[in-house]
Amino acid sequence: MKQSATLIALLISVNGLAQVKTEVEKRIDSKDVPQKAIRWLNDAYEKVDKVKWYYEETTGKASYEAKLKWNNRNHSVEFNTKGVIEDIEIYMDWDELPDYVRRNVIHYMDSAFTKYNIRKIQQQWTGEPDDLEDAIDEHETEDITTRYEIEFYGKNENHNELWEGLFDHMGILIEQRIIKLLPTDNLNY
Amino acid sequence: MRHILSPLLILISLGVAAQQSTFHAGILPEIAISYSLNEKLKHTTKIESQHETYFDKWEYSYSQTDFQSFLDYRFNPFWKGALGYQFRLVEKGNNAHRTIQQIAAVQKYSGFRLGHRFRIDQTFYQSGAAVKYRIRYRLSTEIPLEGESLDPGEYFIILSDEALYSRQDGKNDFENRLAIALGYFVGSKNKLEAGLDYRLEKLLDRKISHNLWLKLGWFYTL
Repeated sequence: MKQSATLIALLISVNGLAQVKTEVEKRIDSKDVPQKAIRWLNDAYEKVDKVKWYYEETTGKASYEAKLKWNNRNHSVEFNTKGVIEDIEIYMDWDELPDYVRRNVIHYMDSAFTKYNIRKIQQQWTGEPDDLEDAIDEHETEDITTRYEIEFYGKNENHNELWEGLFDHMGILIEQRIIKLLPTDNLNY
Repeated sequence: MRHILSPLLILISLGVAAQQSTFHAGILPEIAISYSLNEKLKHTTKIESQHETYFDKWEYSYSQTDFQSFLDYRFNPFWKGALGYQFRLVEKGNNAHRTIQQIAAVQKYSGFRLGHRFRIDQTFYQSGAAVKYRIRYRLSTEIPLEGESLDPGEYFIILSDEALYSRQDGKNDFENRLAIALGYFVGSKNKLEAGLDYRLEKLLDRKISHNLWLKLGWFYTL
């Protein structure tokens, strides 16, 4: 009975959180990026080779994003329109997640979906600009908040979709949304 | 674009010169309109018309028009199945009916999408000619030109190659279709495409047919 109640609660939360993500992203030149963002990036990622800049609007909120490779990992660094850093996302493999995070994520997936498949994982760091800089150049991560953004395919009685879930440092779900794929008519017909 | 087209045209010329073959060219406009019936089912109507041009005489002639209708079933966000029917209206009167079955999949990557299409079809001719059976596979990729994902108001490149095997009245044939187009994503529902579609037909024959079409496409999702 308790298990059924938990499952029902989870499914209700899946339905309740089934927002749709809309995102617009455009490649831009570094001269169109706020100087404050460029300065922060150069301080944190000293002597980084190649940085690609993008202008983004996610569900109406504008930001700038830098994509770069650092220590053989892909990093995405997001700044607000004033050039203040908002978060750093680092691509990871499933095997690199801590055991307790993997356990909690699997527990959620098993409870909420009958079928699922994890497709992409990004570790997300948020915090004060100085603390985020220390996390990059001095590997000090005590003062920052770590979360995991996971893209997955999930199917249950009500949904059969591609999702983006945000999980906390323990692997507990905070929120999730449906990723709508663009029309595929020109690829199918 | 010029860098891509030049080798293609050279290859065509070499191919035509190297063997006994024919060359056809023309314009191939197509319109596809899709609308969802519910979460899983979608209907697509497509009209495609062939207009052949003869550069040596600067002449033009209408060849045929295909009217297609598909009922599309979504298995999950990536895989779809479809059943379709086509009526081909041919200028010289040999109209044809075609039944189509297909499975299509899309793979989403950072910076591009890959599309796979497996299709079989059966063509029935009003003239009473034997039924033609075809099996075909098309691999296509859509590459946004202004970022890692395609957004409204942005341009993209679409590349595709399709291999077709056919059998009619005991005779086998093989065809290849290579296409490249520049596309524009208008709003969130319209895609416009303009490009070249190079088809090598009768590859198992001694007389290969080369066809180069200027393809103009409009894909609209209601």
